Amino acid sequence: MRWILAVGLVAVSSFVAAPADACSTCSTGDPTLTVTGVEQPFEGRTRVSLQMQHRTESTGVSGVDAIDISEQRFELSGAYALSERLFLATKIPLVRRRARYVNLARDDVMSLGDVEAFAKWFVFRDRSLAPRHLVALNGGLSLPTGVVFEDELGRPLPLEAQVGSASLDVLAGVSYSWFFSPFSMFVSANAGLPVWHGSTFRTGAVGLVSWAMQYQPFDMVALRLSLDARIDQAVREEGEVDPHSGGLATVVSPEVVLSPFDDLVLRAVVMLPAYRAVRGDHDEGVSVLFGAAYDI
Amino acid sequence: MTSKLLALLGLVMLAGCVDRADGTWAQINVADGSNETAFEHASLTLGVANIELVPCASELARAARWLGDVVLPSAYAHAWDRSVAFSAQETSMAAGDPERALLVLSPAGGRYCEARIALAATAEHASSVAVRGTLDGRAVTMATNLHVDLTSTLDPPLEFHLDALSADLTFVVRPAEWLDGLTAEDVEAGGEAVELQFVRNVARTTSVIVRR
Repeated sequence: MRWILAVGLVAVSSFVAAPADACSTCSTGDPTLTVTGVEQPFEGRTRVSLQMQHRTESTGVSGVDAIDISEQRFELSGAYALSERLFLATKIPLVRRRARYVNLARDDVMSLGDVEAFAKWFVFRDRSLAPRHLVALNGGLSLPTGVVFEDELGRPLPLEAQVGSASLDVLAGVSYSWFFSPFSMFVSANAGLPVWHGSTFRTGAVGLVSWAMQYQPFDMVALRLSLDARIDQAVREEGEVDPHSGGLATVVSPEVVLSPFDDLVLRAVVMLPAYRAVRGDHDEGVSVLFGAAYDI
Repeated sequence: MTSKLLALLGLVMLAGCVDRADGTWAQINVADGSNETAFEHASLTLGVANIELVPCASELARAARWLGDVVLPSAYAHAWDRSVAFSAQETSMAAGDPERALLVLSPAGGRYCEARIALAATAEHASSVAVRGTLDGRAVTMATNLHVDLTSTLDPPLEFHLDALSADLTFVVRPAEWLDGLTAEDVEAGGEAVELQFVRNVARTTSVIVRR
């Protein structure tokens, strides 16, 4: 099942582009450098991107049940605009994860993570060329394509040592983009709801709210500041609530966006943990992300 | 060549790969280390309620830990702490039996200064500690259902780190000395004082040996 889904999605993400326009900014009529996920749509726009993220996390009580996690995520994304109102996109992650347990045991895992496929339907656009306001509805699925790793006895490893959620999640949300060169702003609210679980651990619903402000002093350079808030329902493992899961976590992310030449956008992001109201003991470290997006 | 690399990458992505490294391993045993005394024991029974390795800690940390136990009296932390095991098992040994394995702990990395074993009746008519044998030429049985906490200092402290992941800890009991200061008449008469003397003897004569 996972193979079929993954192969199918790779195929979808490899859409042969419609004949490309001169450049993406020329086609949108707006010089704003847009990072992956907040592109302005025009028919036939095809964008591929690769992101690499390193992050660390620690759950549990030190000396008792702490698990330290280090993760590297390589994410290949593809987006294709069927029209100036509809974007289809996929995200295909390759995840490497290391979990270190309090008893000095260690698990290193690597596999395909949970593939996401979603559509973004622009329900409001104040004008066709160089829109100032864009409102979109998002809907999609997060597929249980991540391998569920097991121990020698066939029991699933803890969720902290898994690269995916082993669940089928329905994703839905709304986003608003505002363009007023050299400034732009992006706001979105999304939710994910698991509708099927394929293992003994059960991730819960998740809510994500994002706000980002961008200032672009030069055509090739933009500075961006994001604030992301995430609310997670507690995880259940073998029927028991994980005491170190669930709650609210916010992240502040300064970012530099560069476009060394037309159609290529590079980004470097530092994600700094901010306000947290989480259950139990659960800390996240500073994350870094590098990405490149290219309009074909 | 490129296609082979891509195929390999695809296989890794879809099938996944895992590399696991074992953690700490503390095998807990009990052994009869009796020397010859006036009491010739035939068998002993221990009701093992829990076994714990106690991390070395400053007085401040000890106080914090105690305070934490008071504020959060649930077994929340202990339920996840693999330096402690709630076993509730009864172990019987005949005199001369070899060392017996009780359980395995997988404690957090760090230094441990004490090993504790708590003995308690594991069933309604069971005993926390019992011994049977011959004293002054008479067959005697001494048992108690008092809760007995036996704590042994680990000197030098037992340390677990990546280059020292496993250890064997053996609680050495000496049942031949458990009736020290008691006569066969005392044991038969019973009573609180006799029971307390018995428990004191059990606590006094128990030790721990560590092998790596």
